[in-house]
Amino acid sequence: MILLGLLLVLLAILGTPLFAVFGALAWCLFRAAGIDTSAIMIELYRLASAPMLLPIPLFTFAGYVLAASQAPQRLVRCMQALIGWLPGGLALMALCACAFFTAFTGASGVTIVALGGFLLPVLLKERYPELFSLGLLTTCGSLGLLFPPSLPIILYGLVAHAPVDLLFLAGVIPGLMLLVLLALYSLYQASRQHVPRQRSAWSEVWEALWVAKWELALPILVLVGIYGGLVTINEAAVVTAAYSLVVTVGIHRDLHLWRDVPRLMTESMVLVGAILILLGTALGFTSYLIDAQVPMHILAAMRQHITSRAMFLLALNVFLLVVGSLMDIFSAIVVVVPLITPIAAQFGVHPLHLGIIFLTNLEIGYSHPPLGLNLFLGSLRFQRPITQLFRASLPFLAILLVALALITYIPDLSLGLVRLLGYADLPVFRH
Amino acid sequence: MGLLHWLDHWLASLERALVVLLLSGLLGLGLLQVIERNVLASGIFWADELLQHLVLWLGFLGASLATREQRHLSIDVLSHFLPTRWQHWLALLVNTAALVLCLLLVQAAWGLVRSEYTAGPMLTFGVPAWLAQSIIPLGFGAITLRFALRLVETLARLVRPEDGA
Repeated sequence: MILLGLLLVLLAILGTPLFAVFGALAWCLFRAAGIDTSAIMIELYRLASAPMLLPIPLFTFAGYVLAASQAPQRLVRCMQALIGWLPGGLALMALCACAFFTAFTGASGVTIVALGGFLLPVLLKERYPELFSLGLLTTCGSLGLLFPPSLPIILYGLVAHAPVDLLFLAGVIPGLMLLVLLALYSLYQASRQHVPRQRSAWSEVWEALWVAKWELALPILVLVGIYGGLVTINEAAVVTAAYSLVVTVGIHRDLHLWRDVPRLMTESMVLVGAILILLGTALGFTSYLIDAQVPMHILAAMRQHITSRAMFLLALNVFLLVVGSLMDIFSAIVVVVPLITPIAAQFGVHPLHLGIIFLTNLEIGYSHPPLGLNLFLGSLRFQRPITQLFRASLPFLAILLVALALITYIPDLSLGLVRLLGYADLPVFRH
Repeated sequence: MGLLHWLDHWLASLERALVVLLLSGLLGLGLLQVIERNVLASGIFWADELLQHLVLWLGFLGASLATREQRHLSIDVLSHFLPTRWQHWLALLVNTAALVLCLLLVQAAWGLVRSEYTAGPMLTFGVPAWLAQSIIPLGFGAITLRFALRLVETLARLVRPEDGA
């Protein structure tokens, strides 16, 4: 049995699709326990009737639509007019545009492909150093993951049984902090290299804002809708998908209803299918582990060495950074979260705080050498050797790690806003 | 090989058409529900159930297409570093494994639908539950078929490497 398990893990490491590995693991475990194997599929079907699943296809589709349209260009123009005149303005503009974009496309690598490619020449033309520009755009590929309505947050909420609207709130301040820290570094670099400052005329500011008004209204629409209590998250997802279609197809006419939209529908559902099938099969596996009290056994073993919450959090960070650099964010959430949440609860980590720690780690894992996905995507998109991107992203990585430490050890960064808005003490844990 | 290719192609067209149809339906029904609830302050009692099943079907159709496009989530470490020749052998191993493991899942999914068929629970409007769930074995079946095709392709490439490029 153990041998079989090891064989399957080996197959996973060699690159066998994870859904097949976890499904088969569950199959073997159920079989060995004398349970009918169709129980895996009952679990999968039960997942499908979770109402929180609906936003996943809709937000993903909306993200694909926005990415394929001219929305990135309009957004960049707008940001450039608004903040481009500041010292280091272009770098700031790149940071903000990437964050905005990632929040809507869900950090599936779309940001580097859609934005990185045309931001790099702009930065280089304004005499930003090459290494700095490459590092900036590579790490920015996942910046914004903590802002609503990002797909990883929704998935985390679904898997960890945490309320998604509160997770969105919890992510705002940590997300802004990452943005500000990276912005400060960009400012420092820009002033050191004497990057010339730009000017933007008032007329251009006004015009760029006007051109991008529909895209800029989208986050406001989503936030006011959800937190104003007007719509549920499911409804917000429906409205976002319909709205982005209307804006890109109807108003700006970037996309053609027959030529582009069906293609984007299938492309986005390929990603959704890959996520959902893994979610479905891994659920059978993790629920078996939880029934067999595996997290509690891990906890008992950990208690021998890890005595305090601070130590637990440190170990958690190290573990998650490794996971994050090996797996993509969706697999990591689906596979690791169910096992971590009961353990973290025992150490008194607030579920919302845990979620933000988790997602920040995985965000860093995206650009963590040697295996971070952003590095590979960047290397393809910018046509640079991957080793150069390793070097380029190092200073950014250092900053992100500092931010991670702050987020981990100051829970109020994540929980402050939630408390402030009066959602003070949630039921801490469901088990 | 020709037959498998033809089947794969035909299946993909069907799946794409279904995805477009179902996602449009999801969006339309979702919008209708938002309007009903917020403007007319009523609800459509069967909408939630249908929406959930649409997501289930979309998920499996997407997953099947993901197999075709090799877009499944996996630990993608070795392929970045191995030389091409080795990658073919790795692909052979991975596709064989995936094929075998998926057959287990087809068996489990078949078990579910068969027991639901005999038990006979109904959804709204008298739709039998097994029909709604049939996408689970069908989806896993299509995925298995794709892995078989990939395996045949990999074998062909190993036997005649000159065609591989």
